[in-house]
This record gives sequence, structure tokens and C-alpha cells, in this order.
Amino acid sequence: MDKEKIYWIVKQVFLGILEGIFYSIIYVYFLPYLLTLLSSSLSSQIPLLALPFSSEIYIYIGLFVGLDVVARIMKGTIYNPLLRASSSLLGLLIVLSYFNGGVLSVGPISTNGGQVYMTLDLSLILLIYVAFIIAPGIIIPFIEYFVENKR
Amino acid sequence: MKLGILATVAGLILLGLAAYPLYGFVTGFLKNPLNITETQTNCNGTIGILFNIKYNNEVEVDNATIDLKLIYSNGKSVNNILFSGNLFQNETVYKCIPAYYFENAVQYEFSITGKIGGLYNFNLTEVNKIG
Repeated sequence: MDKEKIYWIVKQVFLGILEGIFYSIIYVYFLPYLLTLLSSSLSSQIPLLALPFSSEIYIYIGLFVGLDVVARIMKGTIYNPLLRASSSLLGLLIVLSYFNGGVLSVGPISTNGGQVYMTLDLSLILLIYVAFIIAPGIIIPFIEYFVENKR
Repeated sequence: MKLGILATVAGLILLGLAAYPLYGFVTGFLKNPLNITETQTNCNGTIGILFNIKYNNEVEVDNATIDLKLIYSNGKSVNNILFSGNLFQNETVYKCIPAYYFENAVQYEFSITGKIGGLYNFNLTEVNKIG
């Protein structure tokens, strides 16, 4: 194996790790943070950041990093779009797990002499997110692969 | 790559547009929560409680219903619809409930359901125990 090839692999591994960490931050920290921000804005009794996962966080980070590193090394093969689509599907799985199917439930919140419960159906936001952010993340790697291989 | 960025940008713009009425409702609700006042009065010849509900939020709630559910010591419950329709800013609802409805009641629940800006279904229930 020549030096250039080793340099290329090291570069792809490094970029794959960065990409995996970036997706982990978005899906495991940033999106749940936005959701708890909405819940806590309704009541100060709800903690701002209640991460739904504990030990699972490391599994998700490992999966994102692993998928992105292997996808980058497998560039030009059919495994690249398959792994990139799997990464997007993993993101969707995480979002669906803490979005509770699009329904946000808050409560009980103690008020003067009573308790308040609130449910909010956010399935429209989830639908836009899936249609415009997740679905392209699954479809576009395949389009790019077939367009590149057609040349 | 360009296609992906384009779809993400379009998605983020749509998310912003879709979330705007929700943001308006939540911030409005925090500034001016639903104001419910109860005063003892005379309802068609019998002693009753007049509920005065003022909705003060810029965002309209479509197909809204405001219910008062009374739960009695024997486990039975009665639902009174205080309002049904679209809730607009400064909408004021008056409803008189005869006082005997509250006899032997152990709990009352105010419940508001509707669609925020015609987009998001929501349900808000306040549970109050009597005695």
C-alpha cells in the first residue's frame, strides 16, 4: 500500500470521526435540548435538560462514528450510500424515540391549589423534519452513487 | 451534496414557518395565561357560580372547547361545556353553573382543547380537588 493511499485512509477516518461526532451532537444533545427547552418554557418546574438516555449515548455516538468512518472508506461502492442512509435512519430512530410519536406531554405542574397537565401534538413538525431532512439523507446518497457511476 | 443542502435549507425554512404560530402561542400564554374568575351569582333564579374566562393570546385556537368536569364522591362525573367554537384574542366567555352541581363534588377539572393556529392539537387540563 503506497503512502498516498494510507494518507487518504487516515484522512477519511479522521473526517468520519468528526462527522460522526457532529451527528451525535445534533441528534443526542441538540434536538433533545430544543425539545426540553419548549417543555421548560411552559413551566419552570420542568428541568431544562433532561436527557432521555444515559448509557445509550455512548452506543449512539459509537454507531454514528462507525457508520460515517466506514461509509467514507467505502466511497465509490454501493456500501457508501447504504451506510450513509443507515446513519440517517439511526437519526430518525433517535428522534422518534424521544419525540414520543410527535406528542409532547407535560405535567403534572403544580399551580395554585391544582395540577395542570398538557399534551401538544407536534406531528406536523415531525412530518416536515422527516420529509425534508431525514428522507433526503436516505435518498440522496443513492442518487449521488448512481449519477457518479453512470459517468 | 448540493441537493441535500437545498432540501435541508427548505426543511429548516418550513420548520421555522410551521413553528412560528406555536412560538407565538407559548410566549403569549406565558405573558397572559387563560384568566378564569369565579363569582357567586344568581343563575335563572337559583344560586350559581358565574365563570368568566378571558382568552388573551394573539394566536387563534380553532375548534376550541372549554369543559368543566365535576367528579362526585360516588365516582360519577358530569361534563359541562362552557365554550365551543374558535377562540380569538380578547374573547370573553361567561357561563353560569348552578351551585347544586357542586354539591358532593370532590374534584373539578377545567379542560381546554383545540388547534393552535389551526395546526397543532392541544389539550390543557387543570385538576382541582375540593376540600
